[in-house]
Amino acid sequence: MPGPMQASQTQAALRVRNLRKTYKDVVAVDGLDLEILSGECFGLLGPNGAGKTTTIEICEGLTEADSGEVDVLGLRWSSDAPALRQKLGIQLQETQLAEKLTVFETLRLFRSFFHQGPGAEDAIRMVQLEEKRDARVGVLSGGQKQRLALACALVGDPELLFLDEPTTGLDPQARRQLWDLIEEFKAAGRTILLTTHYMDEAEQLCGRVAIMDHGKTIAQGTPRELIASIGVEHVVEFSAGNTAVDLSGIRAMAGVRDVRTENGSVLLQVTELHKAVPGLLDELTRQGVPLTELRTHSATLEDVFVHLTGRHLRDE
Amino acid sequence: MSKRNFTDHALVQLTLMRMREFIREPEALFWSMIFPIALAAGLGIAFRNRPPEVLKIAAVTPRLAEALRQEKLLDVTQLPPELAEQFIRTGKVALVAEPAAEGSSNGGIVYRYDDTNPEVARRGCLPIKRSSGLPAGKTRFRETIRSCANPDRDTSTS
Repeated sequence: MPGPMQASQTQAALRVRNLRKTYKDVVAVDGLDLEILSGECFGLLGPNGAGKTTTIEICEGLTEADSGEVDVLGLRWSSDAPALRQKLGIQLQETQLAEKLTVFETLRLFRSFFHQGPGAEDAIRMVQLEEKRDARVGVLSGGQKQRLALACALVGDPELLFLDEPTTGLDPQARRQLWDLIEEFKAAGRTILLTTHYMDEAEQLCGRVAIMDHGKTIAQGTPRELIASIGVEHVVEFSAGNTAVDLSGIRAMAGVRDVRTENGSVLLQVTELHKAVPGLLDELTRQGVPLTELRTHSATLEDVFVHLTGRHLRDE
Repeated sequence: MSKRNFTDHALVQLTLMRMREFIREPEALFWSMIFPIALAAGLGIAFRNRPPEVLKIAAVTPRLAEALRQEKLLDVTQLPPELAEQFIRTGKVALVAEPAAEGSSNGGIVYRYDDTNPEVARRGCLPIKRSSGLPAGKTRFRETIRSCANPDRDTSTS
């Protein structure tokens, strides 16, 4: 039995080497490398079509890779599939549970697939669906359905939890609730692999993230490291209505690293906000440009992505 | 690992799930349970075996009446000829049996009926037992008798 020996060799809960997957003429994953340590929450970020879901599906054993190696908890899908299924918890991007069953019946069904784990009642308590215990799945709201799907993923007491865009399509309140739940499981020391295209979600939840684009990781590290790596601390965004702005004057200001225009607004990447903003206001007054909007925010993973690819994450 | 009940087995839970989904779907329940039974019952009623109908007939002589009464499917009344004529017109009897005129070929009987009477038209023939002493076999009315309601009334012998 290679299982225990392999497990002792590795600290990594998930190790992916040189993973490739193509669908007809589309290369979904193109030589991807990943390593996720036990007990960490790892985020896989990228725009739609970057290959996040394909990668996570290969790790979940739902899709077969064209080539490359995938070690999950020291086991391989090719040889240890039944054992792996007992150790993994999976929440898919969208889960179609049986609408005619109640929440309790659904969790009881999922619990029956696993040798161990919390009971259905405990799982309902974990995701705070006590009030909906006997409600049919069909009448649940989107957020409640996602929480139920999460409960289904947790009912086998998984060592590794896959969450594929768990909060996509949810309202802000439902997202927060789900985040709180994920935070709890993180605190319980479980390993989580999360994909998302919400940068704030990744910054909030993930210890480390990998940014994917066109089937490859283009950056990897803690959110803080990645943001620091682009050398920009803040972003200033302003618009001046329809008045033309002389960008060269702004570019010459102290602390401004980059100036771009986007949808009629001007974006400045700056290192020192307290110097850049007064300087900008002076410059605009000198040019006689009226300021209709001014916003500043700290650099985010979104800015990292824009910096690396020149595109926005949400761009189609 | 805690000890698991029989109902915690995945196969049991999957079966339960399928059954619950089924019984909670009123349409499925109707089409797969109620509809076939209702259909079978409806067709069964429509095509069930009916007890043979008894045909009401009249005979004008006691000998004929006696002979025809041996046939279970006939309800024979003995009537005088005039009354028999009236009964056949009003549909109270389906046909009248009377002795044939002197010198007819089989020395037999004339069956007279109203060919506008649907019951007679539907039957088309009269089963007569050999034991009755009458000409036996399935006597075809149409070949043997013309309607008494017909203006150009014409009778023939069986």
